[in-house]
Parts: sequence; C-alpha cells; structure tokens
Amino acid sequence: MPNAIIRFPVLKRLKVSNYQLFPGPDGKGLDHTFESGVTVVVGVNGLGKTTLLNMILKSLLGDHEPMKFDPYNPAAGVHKMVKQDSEYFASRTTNFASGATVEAEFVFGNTTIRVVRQLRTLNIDHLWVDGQEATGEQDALQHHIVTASGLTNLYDFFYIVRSFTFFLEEKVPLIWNPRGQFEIFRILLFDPARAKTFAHLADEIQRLDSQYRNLRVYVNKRAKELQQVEANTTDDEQLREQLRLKEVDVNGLDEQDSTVRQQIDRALTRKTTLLEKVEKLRLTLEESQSEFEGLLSTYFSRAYPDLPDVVSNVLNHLVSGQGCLVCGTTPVTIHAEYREKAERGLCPFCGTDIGANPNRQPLAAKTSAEIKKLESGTGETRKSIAIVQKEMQATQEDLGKLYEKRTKIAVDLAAARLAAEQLRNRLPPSGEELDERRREVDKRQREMRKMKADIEEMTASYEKILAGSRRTLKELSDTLTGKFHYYAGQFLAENCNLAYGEEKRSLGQEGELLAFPNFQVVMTSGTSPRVGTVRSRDDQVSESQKEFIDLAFRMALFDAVRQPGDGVMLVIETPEASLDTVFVESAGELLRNFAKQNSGQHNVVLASCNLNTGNMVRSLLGIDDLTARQIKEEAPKRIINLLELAAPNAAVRQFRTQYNKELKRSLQKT
Amino acid sequence: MQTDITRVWLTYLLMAAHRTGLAPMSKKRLHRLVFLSNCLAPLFEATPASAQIVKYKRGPFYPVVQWELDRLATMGVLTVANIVYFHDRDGWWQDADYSVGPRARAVIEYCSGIDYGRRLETYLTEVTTAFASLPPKVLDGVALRDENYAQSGATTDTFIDFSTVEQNLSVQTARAFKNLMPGGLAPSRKEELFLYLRFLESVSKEVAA
Repeated sequence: MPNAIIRFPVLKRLKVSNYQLFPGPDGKGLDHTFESGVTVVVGVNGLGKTTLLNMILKSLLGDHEPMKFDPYNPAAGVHKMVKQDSEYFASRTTNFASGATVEAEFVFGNTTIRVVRQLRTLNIDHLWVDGQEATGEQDALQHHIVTASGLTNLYDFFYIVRSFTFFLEEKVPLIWNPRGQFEIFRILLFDPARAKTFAHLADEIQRLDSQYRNLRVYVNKRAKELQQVEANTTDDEQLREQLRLKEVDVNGLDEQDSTVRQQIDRALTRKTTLLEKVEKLRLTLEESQSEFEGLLSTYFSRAYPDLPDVVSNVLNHLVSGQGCLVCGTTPVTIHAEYREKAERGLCPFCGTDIGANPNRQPLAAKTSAEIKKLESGTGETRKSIAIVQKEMQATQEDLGKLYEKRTKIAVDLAAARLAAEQLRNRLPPSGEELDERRREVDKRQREMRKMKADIEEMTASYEKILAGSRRTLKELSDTLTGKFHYYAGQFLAENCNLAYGEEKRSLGQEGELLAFPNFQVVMTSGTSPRVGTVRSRDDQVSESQKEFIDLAFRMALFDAVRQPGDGVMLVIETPEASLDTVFVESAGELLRNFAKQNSGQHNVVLASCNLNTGNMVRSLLGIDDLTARQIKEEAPKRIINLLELAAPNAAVRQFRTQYNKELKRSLQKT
Repeated sequence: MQTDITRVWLTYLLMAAHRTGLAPMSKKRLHRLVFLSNCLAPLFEATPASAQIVKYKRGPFYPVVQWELDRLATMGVLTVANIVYFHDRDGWWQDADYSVGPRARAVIEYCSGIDYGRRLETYLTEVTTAFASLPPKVLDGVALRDENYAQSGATTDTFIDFSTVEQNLSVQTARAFKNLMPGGLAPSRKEELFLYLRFLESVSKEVAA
C-alpha cells in the first residue's frame, strides 16, 4: 500500500484579470467557480483554450521546469528544476500582459491554497494558505504549494501535476510509457524521504556511470599505448643515427643563424653611424652654403633688385653650387661661371650685357677671398657626403643580402627542428618515462575500480528500494486492476485488463539489469475474443482506444492512491480530437462517471472542446440525462464559454451567429 | 620614393597650416613642426618621414627638407617669400617664409585619391591643428622641449634616433596620459596628441618662467 500521503490539487475557482486574451463580456475578465463534476472550456481554434489550461497549470507550477526533461525517460534527466522562459502569456498579447493576473484557488485534501500570479513573469503576488496570507521570497511561496500536496520537492510536484493530473496537447501516455509510469509510482508510492533518496541515487549512478565510461576509454587507450611501447623493445640504431645527424644539422643552422644575426646587428649599427655622419655633413654644408649665399646676397640684391624671391632663390642655389632648383641636379659644377657673369655685368642666365648698373659694385677683395675659401671647403664636404652616401648604399645592399640569408636559414632551421622532433617521437621512451606512464595507468585503473565499487554499492541500495516498490505495486495490483477494468469497461466493448510486469534495464548505459515494475494493458480482440493479449505498445490499439485507455489507467490510479475523502482533478485537452463519432457518447460517460465516483467528494474533470462537433460537449455534460430545467441551471456552471469571454478572432467575428447556434444545439437533448 | 614622401608630407603640412591660419610660416617654425610630426607619427600608425635628427644649435633642422622646400617652391607647389640672409653669433643663416602655392591643391587632390595619402593627410592635419591651438608665443619653443629632443644627456650635435617605439620618448609620454585618466577611460589617439602638445606648452612656460 502507498507509503506517501499525496493530496492532489483540485481547482475551485479561477479568475483572470486585465489579460487581453480574455477580456470578458464586460471587460472584467474571466471568473469561474468550479462545481464538482465535469466543466467544459468551449471555443474554436485560436480563442485560447490551450492558453487557459496552461494558465491553470502554471498557477500551480510557476516558471520552473526540470533540466533536460524527457517525459518518456524522466529518470534519464537530472532531478533539478531550473527557471524557464516565462513569456508564454506575455507573448500572446500586445501589451506583454502588463498588469494581467491569474488568481486560482485549489484544495489539496483539507488545505486551501489561493494564489495570485502576474501573468507577465509568473511571479506570485499573493498566496493564502487556509485563508492566512503567506509572505516570503518566490521560492518559499512556491514551497507552500508543494507542501500542501504532501510532497517535499518541486520536481516531484511538477511531475505529478504535469504528467498525471494534466493530459494536455502532446498527450504523453502513462500506460505505454513504462519509465514515466515508474516515475509516477516512485513519487506516489514511496514516502517522501525514500522517493528523494531513490531519485538522488539514480542521478548519482548515472553520473558515475558516465564518468566511468569516459575514464575507461582514456585508460584503455593509455594502457594500449603502453603495451605497444613495451612490446616494441627493438632499439632502432638507424633511427638514433638519423636523429644524431639531424641534431648536428640543427646545431649548425643555429650557429649560422646566430652569426647572421650578429652581422645584421653590425650592419644596422654601421648604417646608423653613416646616417649620423651624413646628417652632420649636410648641416656643415648647409652652413657653408648659407655663408656663401650670405656673402653674395648684398651684391646680387643690388645688381638685380627686382627679382622675385623664387628666382633669386634659384640664382642663389646655382651660384653657391648647391644645386639647380629647376631640374633638381645637385651639386652644379658651373657655379663659378654664374658668379663671374654677374660680376661682369652680364645676365647670369643668358649672358647678355645689361650695361652699367649704378647699383652694381664689385665684391670686396676680402669677400672674394672668403668665397674662394668657401668654394674649396664646400667642395670637400660634398665629396665626403658622396663617399658616405656610397657607403650607406653598400651597407643597405649588404643588409638586404643578410636579411635574405637569414630568412633562408630560419626556414631550414624550422624544417630541421621539425624533422628532429619527428625522429625523437619515433624513438621508444626512456625507462623513467615508461615507469611514469605505468604509474599513471595504474592510478587511473585504481580510480576506475573505486568508481565501479561505488556504482555497485549505490545500485545495491537502489535495488533494495526497488524491491520494496515491486512488493508495493504487487499489493496494489488488485485494486488498480479492478478500478481499471471498471473504467475501461465504460468505454470499450472489448475486455480490457491490467497486468503487472517488469521492465529490465540498467540505470546507466551499462551495469546490472534491474527489474522496474509497471502495468501493461491486456485486451481481447476480434481475433482473440476470449483471451486477452498484451498490448505493450500504443500502436497495438486504435487511435480512439489509445487515449481513453490511458485516461482509464489514470482514473484507476487516482482512485487507488487518493486519500479517503479527498477529491481529484483531471484536466484533458480536446478529448474528442482522436475519437471516432461512435465513441463520443461512451467517452463522455466515462469522464462523467469518474467525476461522480466517491460521491460527496469534490472531483473536477476539466476538458476543453472545439465547437466543430457538438456531440462531445453534449456528451461531457450528459445533456440527454438532464431535464430542460436542469440544463438551464447547470449549463452556465459547467461551461467556460470562450466565444463570450475571449477576444474574438477573425473566425468568431465572421461566424459568431453560427457558432452560437452550434453551442445552443449542443445543449439541447437529442 | 623617400623624396616623394617628403614632398607630400611638406605639402600636407603647409596646406594644414594655411587652413589653420599658421601660413605663411617661417623656415624655423616649419622645420620644428616637421620634427614634431615625425616624432608623433606612430600615434596614428604613420611612418615618420625621418626618424633621426642631429641636435642642432639653431633647433631642429633638416637640410634634406630644406632642399625639398625650395624645390617645391620653384615648382609652384609652395611659395617662398621674404628671403633674408643674416649673420649672428652662430654664423651665416638664411630665413624665409613658406606657404601654399598655386599647384598645391592639384598635388593634394591627387595624393588624397590614394589610401596612403588620405591616412597621411588625416594625421598631418591633426598634428598641425593641435600645434596651431597653442598660444603663438610658445609655437617656436615647444619643439625644443619635446621629449626626444630634450632627452637627458642629449647636447648639441647629439644624433637622436627615435626609429623604434622603445626609443621614441615622445610617443611613450603621449601614451602614458591614459594612466592619469579616471578608471576605465582611455584617451583617443587624437586626444593623446593634443594632451602631449599641451604638456609641451606647459613645460615651455615653466622654462620661460
């Protein structure tokens, strides 16, 4: 019998305010109180049926979800909850659900939880436990909801609500999902501390198993390498000789490289020294020429007073021998000629006699002597500059050759070093290195043995708890089978039962196979009308049967584990979707009967329905069994009519009359 | 090639000087601006036209640059005016004023059609603008206070080589301003340039005082 005391959430009231998708007829939003029995959310595609069911789900769970969740293999993930994208409701509006809230009141056995969440963030604004407002951080407030269910952690609460209470769009089954089924059993049938230990052990075993396998790959590789090295005992003399020669090459090239680098350094130093020398000579020449031009300047400025600056500058440069500013030649050799022409009263450019110029005075003898002296000095300086420049050019050429040489040596050196390294790698390792490798492999193998022992120890603990679960489920088997038989019989003509079974699997990718208990469907058929056959896969039953057999299993399990006096809730999205028309009536009856079970308790079956077929709404509400007066009284309590409550989409705006007629027809007796 | 670079360098500098109101510029000031522009070129990833200079008794002066200035003036790219020869305690010397000539725009238009020319123009315009922003009375003096030129131990006739970043004390100083900025802020290269010239201005004033 179950060890845990689980209280399932049952919705009593739902109020949605300021949410654009559900403005309500008077702008006051949606406010519905849930009676015991079936309630139907009626709408057409795109009006928000799924959004409304998710709103109920999220008002319980908030924005946390398990990390790496796979509903078909829940134990393969990690039992850890992480914050997920909370924009589900915000993204469906233009104002990002600003100011929108959902208020939901649930009962868990005798405990009443009222929660108000912001739809934009899913944060809890207010929370009341049995009428007392609770305070604290978000996690603490969420924990109040979890503890009301009798569970101790958010993961287990999430799993029960999401995979058991709610049967939404993706319709992940339980009866054809042995691992999902077992996860439910773990949570429902173990006491909370054991359930937690069990989940923790599974996480740890899988983590260690993964680590063990990774380590084994590494160790095996290292061990194999070691084995190969140890087996290869032939010492390759030829290889050693090749390496020795290559190392000689490397050393030779290293020396050459060093020599060339020194030569480059010396050439660079020489270049700088020559540069310094030439710069200083140029300054000396500049000074001499300035003096030369200065001494002549008075004479020229008197002889040709109207010459523009640019022309007198050209003349000065020519006369001083510095160079020709017109063609760029430097130095000019005929500078004395220009000076003499000027002294003789001839135009220095064309040689024409320009006559006696009263302003022209011959150069003083002292000045002429100084000029002659300067002419000789500048000539020497220019010669020195030319020599140094020639030296500089030669040094520059040497440098070019040296750089070229060094590049070639560097390439050869790199190639020789690589070749030596490759030869070295081909040589067997030294004894010391071998010992080091042996020690490392040994150490890793010890780590592996320890890890394996830990896995085995944990698996033994796990198996001990698992054995207990097998006993518990066997004990539960009769009750569960009886209930299932009853519910399945409401829907199916075939004889349908449950059979206890065990799935053998290991927790990690390898390791001891463990027997996980589960239940499978056994059903008669046209070809085997008397003896039922096991239907271990969902493709072994029809589409219509599949969903309702799973619902029958859920209902049976609810009845088997619910506390006496506690209500339960089942939320189903569009149950008519996969149903043949002939099954609609029996499907409605099944759900109504489940709600009626354990009369006196508050059971809620909440189903969303499309208006494309009226039969399902009629069937779910059991219209044919009600009087006209009862229909009038009950229908408003049992229907959440999104045609009135939701923001009308294009289809509703265009066909509202037809949809209303269809709904009205659904609420009439056949 | 080096001759062409020097000519383009000088044309850009004098055009920037013209635009910032510094032209016509005396030979002395022009050589000092050329020197500063050589020192600070690495801030803008430019290669200096010349990264060596002899510390000269008349301040930074490049004979090669002088020859090219006169050549450009003869070609009409620049103009030369007010040529005077004088004799002082350092001997004979010539002075003149230089400005942009009628063919300068055509040269600049051609060079700025090349990526290298555009990048050079950006840098030389920035350095001249920063130079022009200094008070007129310190314009001739700041180059003498430059970190390369006034480096410790350098006397007249010392050969100063700032061809590597390790040797270029001017650039090192300009880049060190980031250490004085509030946490997380770093000056742009343009700000480094302006800050460095402001620093030279303040050193010049201190020396004058």
